[in-house]
Amino acid sequence: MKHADKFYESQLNTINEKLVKMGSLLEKQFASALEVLDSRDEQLAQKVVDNDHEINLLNHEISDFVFQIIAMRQPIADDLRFLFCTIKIIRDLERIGDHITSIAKKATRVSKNIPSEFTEKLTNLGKQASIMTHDALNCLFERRLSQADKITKRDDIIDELHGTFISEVLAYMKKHDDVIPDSLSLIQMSKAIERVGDHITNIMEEVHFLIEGQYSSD
Amino acid sequence: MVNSIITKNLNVYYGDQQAIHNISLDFLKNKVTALIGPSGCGKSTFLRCLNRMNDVIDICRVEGNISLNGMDIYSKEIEVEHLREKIGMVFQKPNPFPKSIYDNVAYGPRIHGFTDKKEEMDLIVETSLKKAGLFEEVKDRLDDMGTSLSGGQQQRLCIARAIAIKPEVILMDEPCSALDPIATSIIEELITDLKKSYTIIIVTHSMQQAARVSDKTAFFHLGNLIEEGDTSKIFTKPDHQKTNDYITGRFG
Repeated sequence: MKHADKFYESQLNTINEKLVKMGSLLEKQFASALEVLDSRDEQLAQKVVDNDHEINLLNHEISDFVFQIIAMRQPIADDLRFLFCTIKIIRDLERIGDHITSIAKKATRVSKNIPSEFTEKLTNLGKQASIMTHDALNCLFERRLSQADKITKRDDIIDELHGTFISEVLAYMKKHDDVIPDSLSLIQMSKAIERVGDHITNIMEEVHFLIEGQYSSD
Repeated sequence: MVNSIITKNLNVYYGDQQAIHNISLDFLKNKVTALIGPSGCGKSTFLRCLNRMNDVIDICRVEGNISLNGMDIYSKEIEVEHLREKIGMVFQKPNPFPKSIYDNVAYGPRIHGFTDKKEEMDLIVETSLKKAGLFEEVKDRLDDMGTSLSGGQQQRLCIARAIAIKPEVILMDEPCSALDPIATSIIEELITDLKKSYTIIIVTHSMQQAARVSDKTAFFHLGNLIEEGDTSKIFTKPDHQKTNDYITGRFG
């Protein structure tokens, strides 16, 4: 049911629209960063860096807007839960944006001498995190928790793949000391992806609170 | 947790029109309970049943049971005057008598024959005004007319008048709707203070006020009790969608 006060309704809709925009930008950024990993395209990497500015701006815009609504409207019940969660979720989204930028920047520095299996594994890891981001944002926008378990499991998969990847890169580094800087970049990118998974887990906790009115006991 | 007032299967009719539908709701002693809901939902009718204010409305018929500390308040043996000694009421608009501040407070104790002695009456007046947080502001002008006070002070005078007859329960029907934010916050602070000694039931249209002052909240809609519970729960995650819609302003 819509709010009797149309202006208030439109203010809340604006927040939702900005969240959708932030989420869709992040998904695009993620896809671009993974493409850089494959192509080492410096121009595309720079575009990812530039676009991150827009995500940061949205973070501040939404934050200011939520602050205003709280002051002017004194929201309660599901409106309050939505605004409260939004404030926390946009911080995670903004941090995910930073990790994606970091991946794009580091990807350009990885030399072509590195076996492609590493970049492929990293791309696969990134895709897992990208799907996780997409699914979590859908849960948020559609206010449903049906995919929550699937998302949590995907985070476990990412953690596991990250651990295996690190071991493999370390083993490779030991044998090839000329690729230590490249290997370090690979490890840092893997870590960035793993952190994205953690932020998504945070977001899912907020979505749970938004829908259920309490944090999950898991 | 002890119940002060228990209502069971309460039905209220104005002629053929049913205003309250089978409501059972208990009020905890020394707690503030807020009754909320859109206009015409029956919350004021319900409140007025609690001290038989509806008795004066000819077409009003009350069925069911209301008890105060186990005493059936609609029993034939109960005198309404005696009941209202136990259950005081403060109204939407401050309504001091056209008498002095002193006499406004002393009126109730006088007609209920609490005392004949001037010193004892002085003490009742002073204590009541102190409990209502008004004494310091009026102690030097107790002979001034009650109506000469500001709106907020008049409402506190009405609260002092209610307290003076030592009630157990105070009913408040939108007590701050005619007051400015400062006077409102003084009354709200007073309500929090008063619950140490009294059970308070307040009807309010201000969601923020209900959230600020009450321990329990009951939501009424079309004469039905939709939901009641801890105020902190009702205003963060109500169980019923209708409650959520109303408190967030989604009611059409």
